[in-house]
Amino acid sequence: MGDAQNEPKKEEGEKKVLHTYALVRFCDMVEEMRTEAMDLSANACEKHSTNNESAAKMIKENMDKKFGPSWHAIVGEGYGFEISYEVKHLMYMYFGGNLAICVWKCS
Amino acid sequence: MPRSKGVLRPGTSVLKPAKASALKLHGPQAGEGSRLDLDDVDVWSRTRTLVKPDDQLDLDENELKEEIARVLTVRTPQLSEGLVIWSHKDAAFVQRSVPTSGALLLDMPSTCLHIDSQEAREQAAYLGAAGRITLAETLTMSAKAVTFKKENRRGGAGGGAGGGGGGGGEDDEEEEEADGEGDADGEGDADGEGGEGKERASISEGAGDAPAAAPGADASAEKPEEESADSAAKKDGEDVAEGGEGAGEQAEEGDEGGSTADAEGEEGAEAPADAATEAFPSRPVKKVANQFNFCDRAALTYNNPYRTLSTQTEPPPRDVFSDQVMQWIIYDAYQKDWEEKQAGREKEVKAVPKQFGRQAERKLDERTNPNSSLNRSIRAAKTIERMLNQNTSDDIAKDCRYYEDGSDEFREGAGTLLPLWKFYYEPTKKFHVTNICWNPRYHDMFAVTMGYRECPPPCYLVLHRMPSGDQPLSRPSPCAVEFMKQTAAGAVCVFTMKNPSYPEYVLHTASSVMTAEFHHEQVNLLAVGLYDGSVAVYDLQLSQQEPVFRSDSVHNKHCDMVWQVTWGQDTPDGELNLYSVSNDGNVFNWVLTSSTLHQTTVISLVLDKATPVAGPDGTTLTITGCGTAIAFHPTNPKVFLVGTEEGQVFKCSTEYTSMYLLSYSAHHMPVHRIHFNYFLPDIFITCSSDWRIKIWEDGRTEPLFVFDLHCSVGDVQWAPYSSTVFAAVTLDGKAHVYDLNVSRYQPICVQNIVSRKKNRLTRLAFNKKHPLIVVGDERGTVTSLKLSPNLRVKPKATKKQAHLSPHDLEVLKMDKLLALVREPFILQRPPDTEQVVE
Repeated sequence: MGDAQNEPKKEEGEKKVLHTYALVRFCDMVEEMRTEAMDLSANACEKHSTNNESAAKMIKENMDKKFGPSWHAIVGEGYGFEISYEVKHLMYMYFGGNLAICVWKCS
Repeated sequence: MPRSKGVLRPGTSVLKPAKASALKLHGPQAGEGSRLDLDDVDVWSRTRTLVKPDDQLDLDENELKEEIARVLTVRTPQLSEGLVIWSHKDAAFVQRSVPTSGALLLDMPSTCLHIDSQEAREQAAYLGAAGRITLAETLTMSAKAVTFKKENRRGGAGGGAGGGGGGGGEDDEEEEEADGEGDADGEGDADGEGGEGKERASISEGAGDAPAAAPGADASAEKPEEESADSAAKKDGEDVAEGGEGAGEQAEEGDEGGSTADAEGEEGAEAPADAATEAFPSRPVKKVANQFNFCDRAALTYNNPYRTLSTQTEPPPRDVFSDQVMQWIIYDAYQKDWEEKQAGREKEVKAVPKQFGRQAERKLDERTNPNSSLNRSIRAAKTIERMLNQNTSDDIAKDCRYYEDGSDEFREGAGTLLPLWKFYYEPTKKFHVTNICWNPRYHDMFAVTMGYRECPPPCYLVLHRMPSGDQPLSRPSPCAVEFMKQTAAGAVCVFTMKNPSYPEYVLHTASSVMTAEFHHEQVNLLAVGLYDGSVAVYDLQLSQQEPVFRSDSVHNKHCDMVWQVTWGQDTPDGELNLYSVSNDGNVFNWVLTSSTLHQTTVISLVLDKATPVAGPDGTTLTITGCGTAIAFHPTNPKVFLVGTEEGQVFKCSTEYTSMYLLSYSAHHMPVHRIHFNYFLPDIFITCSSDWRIKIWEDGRTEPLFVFDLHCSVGDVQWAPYSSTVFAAVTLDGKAHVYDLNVSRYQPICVQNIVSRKKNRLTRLAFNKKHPLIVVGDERGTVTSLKLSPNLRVKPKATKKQAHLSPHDLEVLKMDKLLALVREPFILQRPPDTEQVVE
């Protein structure tokens, strides 16, 4: 956690801190599932850093495998959404500074 | 065999009975006939030129006429039998099964037993039909055999077997009745005779075909996988009953009206019929279930009605979530989170050194913190315990509060003590109660010290020099503590009246606790004197076992047990201090500094300074007294009285460490208690093991009152509500209450509190607010007692005294009494001087 990369910003001379760690905005999962989903999302986004679609696919498939169907995942830099989900099965987090990942279950 | 020779049976297959019967019509004669017919046609069509192959056999007439039976077999002779095939499964050559020319169209297992089968024999044996034949002659067969025999005898022509079965059955029926009944059993007696005959015929139809195949199949049917009907047929063919079967077949043919069957029928039936007659047993055959005699029974059970039940579970709860993702939203979220994290980290960094610096304090805080989860649950448990106790001892609580002994009205100058709760703590039941002390603020709370306080051991002698006499006197020392029990532990139990079942606080100590006193201001502080000579101060608020202050165990302590501790007035600096008196003859003053007890010797009790005792080598020896009791003057905090084991009471001042203000030869035995009157500060009371209680006035060496209780007095206390009332406990288990205003000679109440044999009373304490006393005994138990109204009579103000306060009234009351006893002294001095002046 907290692995911040310090990049001196040229204009104004002040330090700009770029954060890449996983930041959970909203999550109502149980602890075990939460850590699992966080790790999984982070791994997927690191692995498919250039292709959000495959990252989302990987998250979805792995979550299906671990916690049963049917999971949905969104990975993207800018989008809006309104979803209905089974309670205790939603995680919404930021990762890598510019990605928003939403993982939820709704069968 | 004429039969096998003559019969041409092309339809050997049992599967084609119709064809078989049709072909059977053409006997050998018929076949011959057809051959002749062909010749005739040839004659008609052309001239008789015989064209024949060159290699044709030339047969003479006889040879040509010879009959050659042509036999159709089920086997294809061209097929080679020894065909083998390589089996990859078994890794060997296996015999290849020869394809059969037959085909199985219908296979229906029968519920009947075959007469020759093992089961049938067993059944027969079971039913008692003895002999070789057994049930073979099951009814059908025997019946038929008999029928045909008769027919044959008659000539066997005409109506044929069918007629015999049908029409001819009429007269035969009676004969056969016994046999035929088996059939009838199954089909019912009501069956027509003709019907029965037909029936029989049709039954035999199926069976009859089988033997027809027999001659062809007999030896060649080696294949076990051949259908069972076939094998059954084989057996049939060899069987005695075969004739019967054959006859059955004939009967059928007869039905159809085939007259050609006559000869054959005769032929076929003859031999078997004979055999049957031979085989047929003369005795009546037992009717048994047989191949064709059975009935089916069926029952249908009630079908339970069906019912459909369905349920539907609630779908898992769902919720709706929506958000919008923008790059700036993500950025802001990260920034905010990061700031929060930084702030948290700074706080942590700040908090860390503090923690280390004040670890000890934090520990205390944790314990005292009323909000810590442990304390909260303990508090809840305590509340519940109190509620339970209130419920269980509800009557006692009401007595304590409201009950007044009504009989006191009719009893002049006498009262009673009403026992209320008994307080004890199971682990300390073996200890003696060494002291009792009420809390000055919480009137329901009192501390009980537990330890061993051995009272007069009979054979323990100490040599003492009496201060008054000039020769040493040997006498028992009643206050000596048993040395064997020296290491025994002790405890302080703080009870409250609200919870008689369990002490509010329990403090365990390594040594016996001899005394304890609450501080008058800071009531949570409890000063404790121990058997090993040390003193300690506990803070009950901390609810911990360790004292907050404790004297050093080596140098900073008494050399003998501490008999009493008492809090002194705070020093000018505001420091708390306490005084302790010990058996070693010293009175120490202890000042509570920030962390330690600072000790100063107030006085060393020397019995007789003027005449030191001569030692063995010309040395002199001063004998110190053993302090047992101490009491401070109520109005002059510098003056105090010390009682000793030798019976002396010294009046001392904290200002002078080496001289007494006065010394009283109060008792002959250890002084157990010195107590100042609550209303008159110059009046005090002492008690001792010499059975006596004495009331003194300060400055007067002779006692004002002396009471002899005929037993060692453990404790005496003035009542806080009256100037003339005091109570005492004696070792024989009695509590005594005196009211000087009522009687100067007799107690107004003497009551046995504990059994005299088993127990002794040691200490006593008056509650400052309620009319209650608590007495402790040698079994770790404290009994609370309520004083009846007669024991706490208030002085009535006369008209003149109406302006006086109750306090003044009490003083007046006592003064009046004292005037009686001290009059001579007063008369002596002041008037004389006045007179001189005048």
